[in-house]
Amino acid sequence: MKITENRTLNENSSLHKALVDAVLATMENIAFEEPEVLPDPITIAGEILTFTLQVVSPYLLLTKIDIPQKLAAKLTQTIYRDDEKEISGVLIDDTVGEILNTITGNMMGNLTLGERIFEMGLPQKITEEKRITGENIRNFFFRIEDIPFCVSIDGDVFIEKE
Amino acid sequence: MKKTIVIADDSRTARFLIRQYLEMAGFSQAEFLEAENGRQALQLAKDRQAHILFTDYKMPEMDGLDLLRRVKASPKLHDLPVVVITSFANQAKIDEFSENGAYAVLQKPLLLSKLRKAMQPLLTDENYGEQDIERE
Repeated sequence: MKITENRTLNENSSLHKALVDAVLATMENIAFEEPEVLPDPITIAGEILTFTLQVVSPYLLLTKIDIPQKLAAKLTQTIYRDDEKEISGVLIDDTVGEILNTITGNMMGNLTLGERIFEMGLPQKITEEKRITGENIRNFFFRIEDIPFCVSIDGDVFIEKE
Repeated sequence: MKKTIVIADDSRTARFLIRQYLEMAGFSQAEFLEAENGRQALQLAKDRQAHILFTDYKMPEMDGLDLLRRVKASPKLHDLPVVVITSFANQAKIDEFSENGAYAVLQKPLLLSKLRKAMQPLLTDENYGEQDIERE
């Protein structure tokens, strides 16, 4: 599976900063990892886990994470350390869902600056290959220990504000 | 007396992380009970006479706000401190939880320093040693 960028990374600086800050804070505090922010699109290789989360208010948008199974398993192992002898697929899914949930909530908190209540759904695993190909998608690429992953946002509200 | 703490979150990983942070924040001797939704948490809090309830906001079946309102409306549970740990924690949402009686609202990802500060009044010397409180 190859994910490519169709918009430049810095096209919307507030969205960019809100999302990058959310990803960094989430990975540091949940998985104790500091991701590298990649300036250019990169191929996400191997078996990929995809989760989406719908934000319904005050903006309608969808967030998505595409993360290699290998990296997701590593992060889950780091979190549980010796407390869980066998890291199951269910546990890995749970971790990735929680990571996306935290990233999205953190990003929305940054974007709404505390002035508005936002509402969002629960993270959903995308079991079949389902690439967001909408015109308004923004892909943001990161890397942890040489393994890249991608967080995407699909929604037109930010473009209208530009 | 050992404190009984209920942790409600639909994510097992989130529950695990909250428990880990609570242990580091001085609650290492507590008994932890886990619930996947608000309904389970409410039942556990009643049945096991919980001392503190931690809850996520967005959960299936019964969300954290509904759980908070039910706890505060219950004569048996009214005084139970409810700590909301949520990714929804912008100021508007914090105000909403506070108006409904939340003891504290903390944002995900959880920060140990903020958890410690919020929980300090709930720690008692006879149950939790100084070494626990100071442990990083």
